[in-house]
Amino acid sequence: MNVCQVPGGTMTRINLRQLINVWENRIDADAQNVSLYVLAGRVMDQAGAYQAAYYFWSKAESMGASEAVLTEFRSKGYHHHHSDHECSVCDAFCGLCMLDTCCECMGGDLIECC
Amino acid sequence: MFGILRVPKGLLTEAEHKIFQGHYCAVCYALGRCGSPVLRMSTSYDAAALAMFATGLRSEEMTISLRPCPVKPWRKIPVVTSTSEVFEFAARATLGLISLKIYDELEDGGLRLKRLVLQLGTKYLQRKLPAWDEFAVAAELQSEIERVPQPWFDEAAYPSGYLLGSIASRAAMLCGREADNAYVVGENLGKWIYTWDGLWDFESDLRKGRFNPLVSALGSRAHRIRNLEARIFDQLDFVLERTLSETIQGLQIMKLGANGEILVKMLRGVHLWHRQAFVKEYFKEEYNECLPSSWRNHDKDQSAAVD
Repeated sequence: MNVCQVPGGTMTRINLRQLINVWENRIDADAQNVSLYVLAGRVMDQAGAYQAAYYFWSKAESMGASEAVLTEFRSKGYHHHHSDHECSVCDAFCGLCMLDTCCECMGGDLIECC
Repeated sequence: MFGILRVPKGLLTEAEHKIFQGHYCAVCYALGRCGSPVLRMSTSYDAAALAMFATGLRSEEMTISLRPCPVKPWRKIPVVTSTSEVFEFAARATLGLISLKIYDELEDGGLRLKRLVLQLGTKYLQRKLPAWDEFAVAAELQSEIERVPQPWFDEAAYPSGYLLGSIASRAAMLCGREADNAYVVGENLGKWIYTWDGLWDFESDLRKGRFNPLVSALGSRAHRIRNLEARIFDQLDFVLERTLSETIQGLQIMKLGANGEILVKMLRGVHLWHRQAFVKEYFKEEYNECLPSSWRNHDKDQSAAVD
């Protein structure tokens, strides 16, 4: 069902799937263009498709969107939690340093140069 | 959908609470006038909020009188006695929402006796329902979405948004105000309620094999709330904040007077209550790194509000 008239109003249902597909096709044609992701997110946000907006904005962030653009997203409540129950490189490095310190306390030296 | 809107203890001042209760009790009276005192049991905070929205649209001066409570006749309760057609409207909208809930339960299957009772309930309500298309449309949309293998979360939330948006539009039409602004308020509120509902019902929906948007739309592989991926919480937090912010902005634009201020205060307070209650229920003091930082950073005073 594509069209649902609002009682007494002028608004009709947006076919969200079609809207998202249109933007995904545009992005497929030029996948390295960060501004397309930013624009897609803005359009989705305007259309009330907030999860789709989040999806496109997180893609834009991962592709290196500028700080000014990220500030715009954050003003609308966007934030990206960079841990997802997985061990990041930073976690592994910190773990190794801690292990090396414990090892040194016991008289050994796990990482000689540290 | 019912039960998400509530009034946490201590949120409203005495005067504000009197206004809210006045609307709540007026809806109860209106439901009784719909044909049966039994229908009074379906009074809800959602109906009271809708009634407050509609009386706010009217911008009339409210009259609150003390009347005997239909359930406890020895008690006198404040009842808003002006604009009775608004409360008839809120009562009929409540019956429509209940019939939709029954339809949803029937679609989910269950014991034969339960289904028989629900079918009888539907037949009884049919005679009292308003002749509005949006209930049937929303039910059809919901069934359609639940058959799509991987809908977007926004698609899954759409039927709830459409339904509450349409009801809000009708309220605006009843009060001679513009429908489109009211639709935006109702639509965002519907999506906000849907999102909280999805979170709270996640574990029971999984157990009963029912559709839940966190699984179908967001692709969660978790079996318990505590194992939900951080990316899921990030997205849901964003959806909740945006829908709440748009609802509040819409209410402020529509200038509903004192009712508008009470509704805004209620929505902010309820949102905070849900966040705190959710964290308390599922995470207690333990590992909660998957939660957004705004959900984790609440002090003891705020925690006490949940009690």
